[in-house]
Amino acid sequence: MKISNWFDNQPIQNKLVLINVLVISMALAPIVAMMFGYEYYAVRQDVIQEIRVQAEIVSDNAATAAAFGDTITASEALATLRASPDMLRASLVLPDGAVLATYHRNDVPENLTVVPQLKNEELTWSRFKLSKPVYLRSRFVGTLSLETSLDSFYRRVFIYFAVILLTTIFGLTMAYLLSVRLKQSITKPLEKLLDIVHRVTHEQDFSVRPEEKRTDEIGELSRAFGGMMSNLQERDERLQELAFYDSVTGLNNRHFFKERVEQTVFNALRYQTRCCLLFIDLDDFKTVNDTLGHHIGDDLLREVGRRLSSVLRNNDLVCRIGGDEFAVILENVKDLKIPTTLAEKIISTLSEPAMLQGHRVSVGASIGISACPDFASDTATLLQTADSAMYVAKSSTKNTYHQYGS
Amino acid sequence: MSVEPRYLLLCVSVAWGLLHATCALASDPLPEYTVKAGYLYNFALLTEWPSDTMSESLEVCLIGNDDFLPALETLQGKTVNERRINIHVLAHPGEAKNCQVLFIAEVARADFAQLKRVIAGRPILTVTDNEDLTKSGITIFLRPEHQRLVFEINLSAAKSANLNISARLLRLARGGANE
Repeated sequence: MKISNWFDNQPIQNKLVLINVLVISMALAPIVAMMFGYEYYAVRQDVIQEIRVQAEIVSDNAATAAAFGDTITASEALATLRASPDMLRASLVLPDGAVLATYHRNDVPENLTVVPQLKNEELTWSRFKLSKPVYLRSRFVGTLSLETSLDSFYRRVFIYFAVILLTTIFGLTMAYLLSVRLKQSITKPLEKLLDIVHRVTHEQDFSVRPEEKRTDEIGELSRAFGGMMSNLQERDERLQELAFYDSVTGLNNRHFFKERVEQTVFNALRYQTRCCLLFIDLDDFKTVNDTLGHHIGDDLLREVGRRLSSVLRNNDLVCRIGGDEFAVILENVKDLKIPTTLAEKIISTLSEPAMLQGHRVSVGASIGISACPDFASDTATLLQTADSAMYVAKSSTKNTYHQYGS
Repeated sequence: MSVEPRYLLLCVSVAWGLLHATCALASDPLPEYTVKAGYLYNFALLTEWPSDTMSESLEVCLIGNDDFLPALETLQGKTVNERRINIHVLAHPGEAKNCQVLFIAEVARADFAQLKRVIAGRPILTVTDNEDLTKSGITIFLRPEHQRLVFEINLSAAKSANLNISARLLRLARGGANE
């Protein structure tokens, strides 16, 4: 459980490398074990067979000497065993039990030169012993016994083991390096993608797109992500519009207006400046709507929006805050005459008749003006005073304006 | 240290003498003859006779020393390369023509001349331990050396007898062999 937990929490890079190396190790392990086992067995058989052949040759050479009890010739025959460095000792015993000749390697003590006779062969972890009858033309003339160390066998096995070990390490290293390269080709684009996701999350920037020309799953993921981002961006823009714009006139809507007027009042109070609010109510808009239809009503609203925008300064803001209600926010107003001048301009521009789909339409406007901090020290009061000023204007004569408190 | 071999030689000589004496009483083979019989057997083992003279038996003949007989008789009935050994004691040189192995001990000069005539050209492996006969065309000559029995092989004699002597045997032969 702990290992699988640990594995699940590893980065993909490490997972890939680990899986690669693990798979290769698992594939290699039985091969290596089998090769080593086979080689161990084959080399051992080889070495033992070699010794048997040597014993055969020596017994053949010594047979005549044994038949004649010739110690010198027998010793010479045994001495040929010197060619084999593993041969520890050898002895040739006559049928009557007398030792005819012995051979021993230089480092074997003298008193141990006679090899005890065995039934056949004996293999221990470090020694191989063998006794064989010596025949001269099928006549039993003696017994040859010899004992060899298995040093050269272990040397061969060790060399083989070392070669296998090195090969395995080399293979695993190659696998590791390969998977590191592989991991880069997979995880690099993933990391990039992750970066982009982070940017989207933290900066709300929906315009970023992953650049991906690859055709594999990661490329597909990147493209899908890009598509998703496009959809998100579109939706975000649409929501933005719905949230802050009026769909008929394209002017800012009531929601935006509320936020903005709040901000403006806050700034005016903080920086000791003046801001003004103009409420504009169209006269007779309901009549136009009812007699000429909604389409022309909407066209009229758009025309009003255009005309309002044309008389405003750059920093002034006009919003449509209701069916036939508009509002203008002015910031940094030095003089209270500025809003009244603007109101006059608005009334004059709106009173021009408009040609809408072949109909000559003319509307009027009633404007209420208030200012902060002159008549209000908070947003609610500002709105309220502007509203009441507008009603004053509307109730006096149409097509006029009224400044609160005047 | 230099005394020891001489002392040993003396001992052996004395022992040899004693054995000689006892052997006259009992019919046990003497060690010396046992060794010689063993050698004879080995010679037969390592010699090839011409194939046309091959038979199921191998006739081993002794001439001139009855003391050797008990040792030699231990070979009776043994097989050499699947041939049964038959032991014969020759009373007369003329009987030698059917032998395959002939051990010549003490023979009179006249008898030996006759013997040579009989065996001439025949495939007979002649063996002797008689020093007087070393140069007289006998194939194998046995002699003691350093308390051991060694042998010399006369290859030309073997060749003229049409015998093929194994190289393994030749390797053990002492240098006196005539090539």
